[in-house]
Amino acid sequence: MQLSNEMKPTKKTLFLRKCKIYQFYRFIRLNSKILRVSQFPPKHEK
Amino acid sequence: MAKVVVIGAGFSGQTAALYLKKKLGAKHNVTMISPWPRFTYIPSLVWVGIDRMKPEKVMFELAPVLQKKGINFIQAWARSIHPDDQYVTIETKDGEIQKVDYDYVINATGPHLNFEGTEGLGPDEGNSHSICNIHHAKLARDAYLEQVKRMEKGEKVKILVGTGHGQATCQGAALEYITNIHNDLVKRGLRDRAKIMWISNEPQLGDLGVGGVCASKHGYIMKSEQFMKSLFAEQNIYYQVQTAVKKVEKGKVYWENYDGEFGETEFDFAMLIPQFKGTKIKYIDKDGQDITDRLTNPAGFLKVDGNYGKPWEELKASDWPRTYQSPYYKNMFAAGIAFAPPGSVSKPHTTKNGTVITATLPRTGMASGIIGKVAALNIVDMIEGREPSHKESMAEMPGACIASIGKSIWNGSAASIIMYPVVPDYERYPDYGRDLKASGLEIGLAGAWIKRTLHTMFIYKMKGNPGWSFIPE
Ligand SMILES: Cc1cc2nc3c(=O)[nH]c(=O)nc-3n(C[C@H](O)[C@H](O)[C@H](O)COP(=O)(O)OP(=O)(O)OC[C@H]3O[C@@H](n4cnc5c(N)ncnc54)[C@H](O)[C@@H]3O)c2cc1C
Repeated sequence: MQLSNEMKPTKKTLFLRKCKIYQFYRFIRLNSKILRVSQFPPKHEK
Repeated sequence: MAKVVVIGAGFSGQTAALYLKKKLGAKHNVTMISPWPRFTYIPSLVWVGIDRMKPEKVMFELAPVLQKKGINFIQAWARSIHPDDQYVTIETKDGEIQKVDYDYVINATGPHLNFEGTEGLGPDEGNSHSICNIHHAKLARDAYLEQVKRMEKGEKVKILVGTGHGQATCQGAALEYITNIHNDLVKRGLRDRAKIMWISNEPQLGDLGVGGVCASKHGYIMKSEQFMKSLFAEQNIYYQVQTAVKKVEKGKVYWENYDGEFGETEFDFAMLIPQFKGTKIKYIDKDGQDITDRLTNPAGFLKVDGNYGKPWEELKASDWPRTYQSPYYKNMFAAGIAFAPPGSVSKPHTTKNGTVITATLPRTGMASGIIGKVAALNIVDMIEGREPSHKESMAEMPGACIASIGKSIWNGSAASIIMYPVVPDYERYPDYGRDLKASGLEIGLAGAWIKRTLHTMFIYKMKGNPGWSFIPE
């Protein structure tokens, strides 16, 4: 069993994860990303 | 009048039945066969398993919903499918065997939880727990609460979560359970009394059976391995990957790792996901011969229009099924977990002792819903005299794993892992197999809101409430 010590979040990250205004923005962004990809999947690009 | 039989009222079966009835109306007959009187919203079982959600909140009665929609409901187990004679034998709860005729059938029976595949695994053996169905989640909850009581008395406990077989899947569900346990213990002020450990068959942390996910973040391409290491570092969770659990005893698992080394890990409470196999439905031909082995893959999942039998290195995105129609019987479809994938996405591994350690591909709720819809619409095509025209491959489908870290809409959180496509396509996306612009890895309260929204919306949709079909799968 290992215990990682990599990339622990900074205080700023922890704050942003809880900040209701920022998270509301992320909620809209994440939902629109999921909806956009499911309804309009990326076109084939070579 | 065509008779369509859907077997299994899970995500894929319920979606299929609703679409079939919506498209076919009263002119055709749709029958649902399910052994249980209720629909269970499985993703929320992680909250039931830590007593943060009451079981009745994740279930609803099927009969009134199906009756309102004009879908016949038979509460029974499907035991065998007779594709030449076009009927299903069922066993009712009184043990009566009956025949149900069909013109078209969808097998949407999900997984058989193969606890037998690992000695001593599972709640029936009394050594470990599972959260894969409501009964198991309640047992896991009770056992977890006993450990909470011990911690409240000042005792230290060891909690082990992960996969209980070298070829298990559903790592996302186990991940969600472990992060919820962490969060629950933090809230109870008991986190310092628990050593929480992750054990899995993944080749790397964050593989999740999908070969890991990459996303662009802060100007870098981040792998889900780093993302998960960061999460586990933050939550002080110990981990061991590349491991097959071989045997479980009271308080101890015996495992083998990639290098073929054997070892053991002690625990006070363990939730280990079993291997998923196809449900034990037999396929019988007109001469009474058992043709299950021909129609299904070795794990018992129904073969559909995929390209089977290729080695992992040669598998391409185009080998993945698109219509979910059986190549042997055109009126037979499989949806959700019941269809046979052509292979794993994660790199397979066999140890020097011959143990296969391969994280198999999860078929998430989103994929199961989409496939249920595709199978239903293809049957509608056939009933209306067309060839199946609806096609959705997992190599063209998005996937989202929203792993909750506490369900509160005020101070909950979730790790959101979004990918497109689920099955990597290295011809379209040579570098990472996926579209980085459409993929994402992030943690925050927004994920908790999404998770709650999904819970409410999907139960609403599965009940066939007004406008249900506008809610995307
Ligand atoms: C704990 C947990 C958490 C999860 N979390 C998420 C998540 O957050 N997001 C996500 O997208 N996915 C999640 N998943 C995966 C998701 O639940 C599955 O993808 C989905 O349930 C698969 O749907 P299905 O219809 O194929 O199978 P199921 O939902 O398993 O339904 C199969 C149905 O068939 C019935 N059945 C079985 N045998 C027979 C028989 N012989 N005759 C008749 N009926 C039968 C079963 O009773 C069951 O009702 C999670 C899974 C688990 C276990």
